[in-house]
Amino acid sequence: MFVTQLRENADGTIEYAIPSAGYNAEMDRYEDNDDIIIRGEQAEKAVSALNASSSLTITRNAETGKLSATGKAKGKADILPLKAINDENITVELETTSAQLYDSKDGTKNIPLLPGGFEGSTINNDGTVTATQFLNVENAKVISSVIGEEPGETIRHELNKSYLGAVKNPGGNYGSAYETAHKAAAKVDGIAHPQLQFNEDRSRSPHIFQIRKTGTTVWKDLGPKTKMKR
Amino acid sequence: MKINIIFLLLVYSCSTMMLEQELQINNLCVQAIDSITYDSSYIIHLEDINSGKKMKLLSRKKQITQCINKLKVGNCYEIETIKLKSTSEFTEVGHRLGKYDIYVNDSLVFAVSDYVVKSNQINGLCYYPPKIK
Repeated sequence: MFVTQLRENADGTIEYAIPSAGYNAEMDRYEDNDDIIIRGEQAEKAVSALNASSSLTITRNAETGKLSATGKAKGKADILPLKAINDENITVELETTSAQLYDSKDGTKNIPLLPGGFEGSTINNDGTVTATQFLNVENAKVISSVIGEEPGETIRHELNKSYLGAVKNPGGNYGSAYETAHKAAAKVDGIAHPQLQFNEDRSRSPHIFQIRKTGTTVWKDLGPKTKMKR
Repeated sequence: MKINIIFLLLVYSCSTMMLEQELQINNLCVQAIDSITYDSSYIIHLEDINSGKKMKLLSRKKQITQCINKLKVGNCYEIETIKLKSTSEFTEVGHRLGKYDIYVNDSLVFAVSDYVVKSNQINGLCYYPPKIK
């Protein structure tokens, strides 16, 4: 059992005191199955963006990719990543990439990263659940500017969606788990989710992917058509 | 005995409903055929003559040596269609359909509300009528 000190303040905020992420005080050892793990070439950028939009102080172990958090959580959107960090049954693995496309385990090929790729979760032999999410952090910045939110809020939505997908449909894939997870995350994160439009500009070589909010006229570049290596 | 018959009827009706959801036979009129947007696929614009519902059918471009019928703009056909949730099997970029409007060179290809289907009877632009038992 992970030991977390929790206190509700008079102003309604909830204060968590975490001695050290993954540290089990009763067993005096580190647990491996209660984490958010951020990997890949844009991992540190993702953590910086999360910190810029959070009342928590989030740090990442450079070797393992595991996150830890200290401070006061303000609002549901901040509490959820803390729950994910401390959930001993669910691990969220966020793989960051600068690529624009990925292949899903459900067989769909070359899916655009706008900015995330929801892969659902798998149930491990010991009964724990591992959720997988892909993320292009630079795309998160562009899309956040289009919808008028902070990049950290958009990234937190991707984390919350991955975690809630594992909570609500453990072992589910995109087809069975995405809609429920997205709606549940949107309910707590409080950010706008406007309808978006996607363009493939073939007048340039290589082809450039672009995004804009429905009802606007100006496309914003995401990047050239490159594929994520897995 | 009666319970068994009711149970069998329930199983039959439920399985029939499931099959109809997966595989529908529509009377569809061809409004336009787009062979330019994607190198590997046709986008066939259709209208259901019963419901008036517009839909798009994706079909891979393939070399066909024998065609029984060719799909022609303005003609109507009875076509089996299957719901499609991504374009992965047909286009280079595998869009999750129904999430956002999809443009190519600033031209709308699939609107978020588009009803996009595939058919196991369309092969290139050749149409094979359903088998008659």
